[in-house]
Amino acid sequence: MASTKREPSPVALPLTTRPRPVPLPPPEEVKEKLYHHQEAQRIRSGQLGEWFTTPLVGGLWSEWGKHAKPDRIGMTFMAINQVSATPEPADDSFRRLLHSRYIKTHPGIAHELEEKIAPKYGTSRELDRRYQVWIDHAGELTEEALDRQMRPARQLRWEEMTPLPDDVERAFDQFATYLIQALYLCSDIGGPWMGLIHYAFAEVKSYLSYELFDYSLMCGLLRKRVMANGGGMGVGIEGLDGGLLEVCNEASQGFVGAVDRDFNAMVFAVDVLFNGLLMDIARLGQAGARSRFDRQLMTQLTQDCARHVAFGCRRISFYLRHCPDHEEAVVKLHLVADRLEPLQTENHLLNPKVLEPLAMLLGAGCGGITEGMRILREFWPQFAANYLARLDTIGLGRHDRCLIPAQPPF
Amino acid sequence: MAMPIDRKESIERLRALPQVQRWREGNYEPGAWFTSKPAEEGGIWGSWGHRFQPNRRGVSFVELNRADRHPVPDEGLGLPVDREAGAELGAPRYDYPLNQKYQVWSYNVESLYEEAVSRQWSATRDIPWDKLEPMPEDQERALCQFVSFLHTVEFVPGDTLPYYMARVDPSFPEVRLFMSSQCADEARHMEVFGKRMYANGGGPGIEPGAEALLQFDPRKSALPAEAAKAIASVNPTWDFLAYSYFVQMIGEAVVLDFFRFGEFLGRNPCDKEMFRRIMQDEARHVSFGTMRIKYYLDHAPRQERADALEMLHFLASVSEASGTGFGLLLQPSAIEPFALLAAGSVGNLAKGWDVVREFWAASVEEYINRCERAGIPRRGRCMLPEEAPF
Repeated sequence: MASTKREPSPVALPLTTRPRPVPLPPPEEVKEKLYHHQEAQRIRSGQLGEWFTTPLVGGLWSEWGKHAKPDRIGMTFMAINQVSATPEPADDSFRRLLHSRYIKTHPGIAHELEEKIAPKYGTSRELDRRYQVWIDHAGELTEEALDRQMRPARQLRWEEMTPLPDDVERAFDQFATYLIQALYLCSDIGGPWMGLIHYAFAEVKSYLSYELFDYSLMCGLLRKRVMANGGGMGVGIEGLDGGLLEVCNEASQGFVGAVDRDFNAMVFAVDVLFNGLLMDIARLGQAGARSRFDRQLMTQLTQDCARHVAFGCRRISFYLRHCPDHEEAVVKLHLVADRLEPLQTENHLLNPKVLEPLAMLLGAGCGGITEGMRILREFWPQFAANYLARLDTIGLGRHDRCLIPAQPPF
Repeated sequence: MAMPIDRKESIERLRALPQVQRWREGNYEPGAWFTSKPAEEGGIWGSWGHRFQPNRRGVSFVELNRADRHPVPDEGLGLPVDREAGAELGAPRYDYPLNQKYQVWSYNVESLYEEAVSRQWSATRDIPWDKLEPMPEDQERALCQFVSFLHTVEFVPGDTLPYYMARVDPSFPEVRLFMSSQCADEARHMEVFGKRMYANGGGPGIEPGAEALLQFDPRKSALPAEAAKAIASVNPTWDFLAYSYFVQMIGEAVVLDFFRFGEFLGRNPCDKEMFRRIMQDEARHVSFGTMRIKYYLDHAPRQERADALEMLHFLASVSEASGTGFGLLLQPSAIEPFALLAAGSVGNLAKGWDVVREFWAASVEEYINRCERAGIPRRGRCMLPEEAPF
């Protein structure tokens, strides 16, 4: 039996509260007031509001006469950004949350009201600067995220899920159990940040929604796979997060309080480092898959992770090129990497519940585990090499201090 | 956290790990994950022997769960991985805030998730943008203002749902997965409305909520300030049941009614298709919210049920009187363009308002019926006038 003592939920989140009922006016009074509501009165008078009375050009209307044409893919973000007056977010116009960057801010709302309706902290105004959230070619990546999203009904051939020998089935099930746990970590840690990003960065918000769904789609498919082919769920892995939770809970401050939060520490940890390692491991899973169906799953996972890594790299790269204090930003990211690399190596890359089933899959069964471990040893240098190459491209070279061993420690 | 940051020291530490030492000696004997019995036989392995023959739809959670000999547990296991996974002796269990089945489950969550997955669509490719036709200026203006409003509204669920996902015990993966599908749906809706604004010459309209804010006079509010505060803005610190009521059952239901009419009022295949697809998605979200509340009320312990019902009636009264949900029906940026679209031309506006009045009555009736289905009887208590107040 596992321990019955429960620890606090892994991802630090604000507590929820239940509204306490207070006395309300009787329905008749409410109905009477609704009858006298300003909008109801205006409707009865036959008038329309300023959305209709404002001049289409030179008034409050944002952009009359704009006509986007679908490009070779369809009606993409790129197609509308080509005609939009605000194809990219700027830094100075996102004062409140009643609109995305495409819509002009109404001049009639005074600053005090603006602060009241959209306080800086606890809302999507927390991350309202370009350097904090934007990426180069945001529209393209978001379109790709949607376009390449798994369509299980079309893409998966369940009939290719073939019975496997018990040892191989068990190895795959353990591997899948590990992956589900890893993907939950990513979605639980990353998801809540979406709510802190300003509406001006619509593409980034969309992208993150699709990333979240990627994780869930894959978790669902892996669960179905292990629960359908003669095996079942394997063993959960203690400490798999390898420092991710601690680093990311610090970065989010539990999403509580009027404090600055470090979105980029989370992006670095989850998208660049963790998804990077997952991608390499998914590639190994692809090589070790013993049925076409399992290979399809691993191929999709590799592609998903590659996109998540691409987002992470573009985000950190943009951040480092545009943040107000480049030196400080670099130092902070190095410190995150210093903390995570050894813990990820120990708890993730050298975890027997990850490596042993993988070796067994690569060796085609329990009897081939020695061969599987040989393949893993041979592959090992790629973990650090791929990671370091990515960091080079984003301007965060770590060749002299990376703590993921370049050679296998076994 | 004490950590070696010296590279040599770090490598030494890794080499000293028991499994690494074993591997270095050429001992690749797999650990207990491979040798242990399943949990139901006292081991640490999760579960074994699950077989399911895929049918032409593949494998769905509906059938998979039906075939599973282990029912969905009433209480989450507190493990950071799906139910039926095993755990080492002494492995930590986590106190996920939403760890009771009645707190999260919905009667139809498995089928809704499957539908969500199979009906994903693309705002870029799946809308016949080439079938847009030039519209009279007042109609294009109305449509663009309407979608400018909706474009903004669609951000809200995606901003908040992930908090609840992370609070749900992973023993209930279907619920988490459904919520993430809703996030993807909402992102797509926000996108498609943003794209429609630019697609036919109208462009984005005016800031959607500004006029209502400028008009607002607290002295004329139908609600006391304390009650209005309870629903001031959707945020992730709301109790999950309250959130589901506001967002998934009321807010999205009114928006769903808008979409239904949007499809009806669409002047070309593009607009019709856009509203049709969004309507399907939104109906799923509303169904989840409604059936989740019903499940909660059917299964919560007696006292909790009574407390929850009292809260839901309070929220319903507040929501009906103003704020989210039905506040949208008096929101100038939504309701006026809607009337103009229904009218077909500004000269015919009176006819458009007749349609909106019908819409109001139908929407209120549908809402009361939905409350009945969820187990919150509102007939006779509803604050909303059955007829439009205009």
